[in-house]
Amino acid sequence: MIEAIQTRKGKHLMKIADIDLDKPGPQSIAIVTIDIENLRHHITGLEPYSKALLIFRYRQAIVGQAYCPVYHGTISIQDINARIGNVSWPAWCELMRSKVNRPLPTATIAVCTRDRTDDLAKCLESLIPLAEQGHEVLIVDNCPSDRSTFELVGCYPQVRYINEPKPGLNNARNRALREADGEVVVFTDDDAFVEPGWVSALLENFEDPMVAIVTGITLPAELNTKAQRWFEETNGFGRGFVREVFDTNTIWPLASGKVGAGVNMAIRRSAVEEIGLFDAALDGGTATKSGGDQEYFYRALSRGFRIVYDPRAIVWHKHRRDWESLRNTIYGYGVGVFAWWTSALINEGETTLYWRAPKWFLQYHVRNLIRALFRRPQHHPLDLAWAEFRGALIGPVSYFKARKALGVTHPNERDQLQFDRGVHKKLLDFDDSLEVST
Amino acid sequence: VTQPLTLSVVIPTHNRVELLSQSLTALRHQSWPADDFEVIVVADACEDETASFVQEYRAEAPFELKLIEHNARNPSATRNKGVSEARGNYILFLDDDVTPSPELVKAHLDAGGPNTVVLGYSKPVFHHKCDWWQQGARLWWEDAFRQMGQAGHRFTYRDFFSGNVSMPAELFHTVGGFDLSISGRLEDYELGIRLLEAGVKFKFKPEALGFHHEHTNLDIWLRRLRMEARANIQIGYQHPALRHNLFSDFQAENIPFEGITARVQNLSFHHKKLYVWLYKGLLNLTHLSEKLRWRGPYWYTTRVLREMAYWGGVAECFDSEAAFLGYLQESPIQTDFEEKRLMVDLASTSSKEALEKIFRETDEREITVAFDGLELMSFYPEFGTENIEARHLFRELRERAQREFFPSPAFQHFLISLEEYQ
Repeated sequence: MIEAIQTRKGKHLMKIADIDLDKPGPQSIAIVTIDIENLRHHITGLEPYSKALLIFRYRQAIVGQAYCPVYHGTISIQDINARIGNVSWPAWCELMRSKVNRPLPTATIAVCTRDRTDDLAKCLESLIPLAEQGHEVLIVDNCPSDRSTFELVGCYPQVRYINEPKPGLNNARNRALREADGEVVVFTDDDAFVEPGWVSALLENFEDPMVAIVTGITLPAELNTKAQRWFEETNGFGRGFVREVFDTNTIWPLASGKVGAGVNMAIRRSAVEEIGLFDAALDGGTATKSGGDQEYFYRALSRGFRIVYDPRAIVWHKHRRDWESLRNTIYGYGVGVFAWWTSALINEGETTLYWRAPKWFLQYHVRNLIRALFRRPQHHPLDLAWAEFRGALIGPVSYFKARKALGVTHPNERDQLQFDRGVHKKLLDFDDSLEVST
Repeated sequence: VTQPLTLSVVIPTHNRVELLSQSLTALRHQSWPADDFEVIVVADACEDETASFVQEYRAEAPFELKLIEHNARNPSATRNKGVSEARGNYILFLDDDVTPSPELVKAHLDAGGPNTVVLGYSKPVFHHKCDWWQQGARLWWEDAFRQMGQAGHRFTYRDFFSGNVSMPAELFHTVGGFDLSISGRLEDYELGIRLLEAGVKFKFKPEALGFHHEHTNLDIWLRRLRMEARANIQIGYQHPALRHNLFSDFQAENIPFEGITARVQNLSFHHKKLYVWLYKGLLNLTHLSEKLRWRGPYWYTTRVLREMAYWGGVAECFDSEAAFLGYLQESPIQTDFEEKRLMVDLASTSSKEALEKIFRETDEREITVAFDGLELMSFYPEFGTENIEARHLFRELRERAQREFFPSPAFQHFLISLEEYQ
């Protein structure tokens, strides 16, 4: 692994050394999970670190986080106490959450992957306990270049392997939606791993029949490199520590980035008939690079469904380690937002985007770029701001490019696939039985 | 001549033969034995082939199928007519656009009993892409049923929907059936009031699931609001204590701006031409907003239209604003709450059983619940609402705790113990 030195302008001047990134360096941030009910002693043994990210946990939920200095590998209990104050409201909410007495729906866990067996192995390890609880686990191998994923998954008989030859993350997600047996399909990424209570925490929220999607909290698995720290600071998956319910009354659907991300989401399959499938022209593996999950959240909201964010459903995500990948990711986010907004404009007729999208471009991308240029306080690194700016500019074009590459006029297969919705299915069954009997 | 059956299903219908055939088909597939209930279709002023369809269907139906035709154009009369021919011990009212699930009849009969009304779950179903109004309506219906399903829900007459509800036939006759003077809208609410005032227990059964095929849209809804205003006034004549409820259909939660009700009232009583002009303009603007998917303007215009339709309906019922104000002033006002007040302090009585006992045995009009001297909430006897019970308090407290922090550890402990109660 190589960490490149950044110059002021963010260009690589030289590569100083090969650093083993699995080992933390002096700039690394330790990640410490603290159960606030059992907080008695100083935390020790954090030797190489000078800083730590404290993640506060209470009962089943994550209730807060704070950065904290580490002296001689130790965090004192006073330092922790000084930072624990702001968890009181989330902890109260967690304490007062009502139990769900109804039986939970069945779930299928799906992981879409492509040539990343190192990370996938860790992800699979965390999914095995869930498979043993009786949940179906699918690994959708998206257009693999070799057999390594197939061989890795072969080691786990509890896990189903599916090869999806059509490239594109959204194609893989659609495949998972079609192949799944469960009433709910729960997605995570191959570079993430999950907590044991993850699935049941997501499923509890489907008690409300109007909830189509549930998202959870995603925390950084490591913050060893500068790239990882920057990603967590600027584009982390943090969405707060209190359960929230979103629908068109509480959120503008085109701001669906606020509700969560594809790394930690569950989708009710019966709602897919109304929402449609994922747009194959969006997200990883296509010219648009990202935005598939956001566009799907948007469509769910705009069809009148609810989305719940629940900090009880916990996933740990390993951010990209090297700066090059970080820049590509940020560039991809810039492309993705404007690509999926383009899709919302042309497929769904969201005409407010004619002025909202340019406004956002000025308020966020242009502003960030100017702040980085003039080194205003807390500016982003210039190369990241520039990458996101370029991405945003190319976004709309990339959506048309991706569609052209797919060779479709209509962007996805929403209409080709009939999902059974309770009523119709049942009524059809009645009619069949009638014909047989008469 | 007739021997009693367990259940009579009464289906009032008006020109909806296709949906009716779905309902009848679904009734053939009930888990309850088909020879133990009858189905009475009451066709009100049907101009389609409803009558001939039912006549033909009768031959193949495993249950007894009766057809009554009349020409009243009045849902209250139609339902009463159906009951008058019924020989079941229980009556199940099913609308023609509600398709029952196989467990529906059984769920109603399992939960039913003397002095009990069983409310079923009519899940709204749309057969095409929902427009924005329909999305809102679907949320509204689903939320209403979810509320009813929660332990400690205090039922009101607003929970009584006649599309999927059952009760003992005797009870229906005792309270006097549907009121014929209220027709078209809210006649079910009015019956709900009389049932609750007679001390009947409401029960919600989610297993009594029917699929409600919805065809309402914004324009139909606005027309209905006008009729609802008229029905509300009629209900006010029947039950003067409810006259103030003219206002409570739209309580402050969703009003677009302060004082809108007063302004719209003024408009609909005094500036009828301006009212009509504004109403049409706003309706067009609403449709345009939806077409262009402008959510903000849509939200405002629909809220204003809702007020306008409703108060326009009210204005149609009175010659002048003075007459309307006179109508409101006839409403009796309760003034003796303060004197007859029971204070319950949770710091001294926090066992659930003790609270249940207090709530059961008190005959005070108002119960105020406090913790260590801090007043938390008050419960009043409300007309057309279930009597207060301790479980209502428990639910209110749990709900309050979702929004508010209570620092006392003893009270927290009590709140947590309520979770197990639920």
